[in-house]
Amino acid sequence: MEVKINAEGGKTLVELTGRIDTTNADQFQKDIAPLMQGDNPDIEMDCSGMDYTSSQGLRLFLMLQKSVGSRKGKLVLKNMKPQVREVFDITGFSNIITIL
Amino acid sequence: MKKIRSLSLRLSLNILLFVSVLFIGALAVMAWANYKQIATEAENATKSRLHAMVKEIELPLVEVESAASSAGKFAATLKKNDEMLYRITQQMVAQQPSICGSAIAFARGRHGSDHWFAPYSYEDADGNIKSIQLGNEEYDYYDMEWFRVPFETGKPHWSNPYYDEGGGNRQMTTYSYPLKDNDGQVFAVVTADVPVQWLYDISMKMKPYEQSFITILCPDGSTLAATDSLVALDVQERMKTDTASRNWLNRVLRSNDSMERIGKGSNAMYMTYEPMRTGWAAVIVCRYSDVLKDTNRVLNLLFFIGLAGLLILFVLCYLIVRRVMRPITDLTVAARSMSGGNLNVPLPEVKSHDEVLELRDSFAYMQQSLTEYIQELKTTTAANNRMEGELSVASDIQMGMLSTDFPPMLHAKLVPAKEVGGDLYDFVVVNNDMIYFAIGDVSGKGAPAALMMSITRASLHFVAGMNLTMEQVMSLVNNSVADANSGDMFVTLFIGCLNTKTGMLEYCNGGHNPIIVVHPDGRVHYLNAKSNLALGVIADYPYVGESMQLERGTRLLLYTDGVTEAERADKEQYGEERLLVWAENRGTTGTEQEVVEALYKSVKEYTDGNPQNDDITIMSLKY
Repeated sequence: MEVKINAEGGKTLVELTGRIDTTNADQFQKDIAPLMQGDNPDIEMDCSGMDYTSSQGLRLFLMLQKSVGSRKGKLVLKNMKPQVREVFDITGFSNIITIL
Repeated sequence: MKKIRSLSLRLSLNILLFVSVLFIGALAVMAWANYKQIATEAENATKSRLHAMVKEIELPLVEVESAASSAGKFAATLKKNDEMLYRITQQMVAQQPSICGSAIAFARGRHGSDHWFAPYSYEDADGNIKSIQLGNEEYDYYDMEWFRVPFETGKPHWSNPYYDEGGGNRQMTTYSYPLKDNDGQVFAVVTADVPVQWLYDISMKMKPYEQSFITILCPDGSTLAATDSLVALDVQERMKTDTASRNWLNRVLRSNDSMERIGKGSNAMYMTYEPMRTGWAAVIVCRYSDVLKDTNRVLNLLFFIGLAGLLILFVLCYLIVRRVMRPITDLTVAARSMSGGNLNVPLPEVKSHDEVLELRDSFAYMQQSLTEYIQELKTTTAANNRMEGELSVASDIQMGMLSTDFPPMLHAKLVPAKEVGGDLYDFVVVNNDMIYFAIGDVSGKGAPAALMMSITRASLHFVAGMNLTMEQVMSLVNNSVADANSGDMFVTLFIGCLNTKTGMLEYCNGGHNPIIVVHPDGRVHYLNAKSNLALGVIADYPYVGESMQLERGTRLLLYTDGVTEAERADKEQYGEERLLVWAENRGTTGTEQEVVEALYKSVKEYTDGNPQNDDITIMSLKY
């Protein structure tokens, strides 16, 4: 699992690659901790390199969505692979998280 | 066990080895450089000894010579006085202890008569001096060496040794001094007999070395004197019979003083010879090692002093190194004691301010850290044990909450990945014709997930008998979970209610994996269900329920993502595709318990020992 965070013209660009599973969910939580603060966040996540997420990963996306929502910001997930998108669909998370 | 050699010993031995190599090297270079010179000096010393010895032997011989010549000069003035001639010979024998006989032998026709005339005095066996006239038919001295040679050459002469039969009657050598008339003609010869025994006695006193052989060689090859008479006889024999030896002798007699080395190695002999005034040659033969004895003694002394020095050096080295090493040895003992568990063992005092002190301090630091660490470990372990105990109890309660009194048409299995799982299943039979069933998965694992699961299961169980629609049940449970959700957890939950008489299935899917429907005719597909949001995320979320008419014999297969996401070592997942194929192959045969166990077995075979990282729950239901 690799998380690259870049600030670009008021937007926060995040690049996710690899898998989120039991073994590295804690690390992923630490990696995205910087996204949990600041006003009016505008976060765009590129998920094209993401292969898999377990339910723990989903939990962290939910946590991030709630955090961003409470700060009146925006979270967009992009370029998701079909098998990952499926997990978001099954759990109904595509209904509350913007996935393009 | 491998023998441990102490560092002090090894260090000392190394130093010793190094010094030894240096020392022996230096000694070898020194010996090599000086040996030749020292050897030459030793040879010269031996030669000087021989020279001194020759002089010492010659001295009494010179006395004999001068006695004979003075007697001769006196006799020449007395010509016809026979009485005086006898007196002179008597006087010679009496005054010179080395002279055992003396004659004044006249040449043919030079003393009145035509024949022999030779007054002769000698010492008999009892030590009395007797006088006789020597020459007669029996004792024709004209032809004897002692008379003939000086008579013919006109020069004094020392004879070869001979046994004087009819004269002195013993083994002797004779010095002859010729008397000449005014024309230079020899008219008489004065003789002085010296017993060979006397020369032997002198030479015996002159052994320069313990193992040396000294002899005096005469021109005819006889030996005049020798320290070993057997060897002397042998030498004499060779000189008289062997031409090469004879030639050698002639060379020696004519040479100035010289020396030779015979043989090699430890048996090498050293021979030095010197011609004497008497026409003989003195010879000393000794072992070359004796010649070099002094040299060798110096070398040996040097060697032994060196050896003793090395030994002392070794002992000193060993003592010093051991003294320096003492704290390290003590530390080793302390370390061993510590490794045995005794952390309070006192460390040795170190007085020096060096690496050893640093080592000791590091050691003390380690000791302290270890003590603290072990204390901390004890505390942590105790806490862990307590927590594990609590978790175990929680797990027991958790598993106890799951219903296990399955009706024949339903079976389920839950295998948690950790002590306390986040999966759940439930079923309730109502009025003999309705069966509620549910399967769910709480995000996350461990105690918090288990707590969520308990809440979910409890509220589910509570509302099951209230004859509500699936949507209502789902909303109630969702609100309970959302209220209790302190963190950002969620629950995926599938609930269904089957009328066992009509086959009508009502269901609602809250974000859970789609369930599999196996028709009696063999068709297998995922249940077409609208995916509502998982529970606990948003309170009052509008859940939508659905319904479906089942044919008799239809089987429903429910599972959590622990099944589809079970991983092999290469991270490849079991997957929905494989699960669907498995369900197709299985069909609607067997009891529900058999189906559940068979699927679990299939998953386990797939993962092949790879650790399970999520709870696995399987439920099978047959209408």
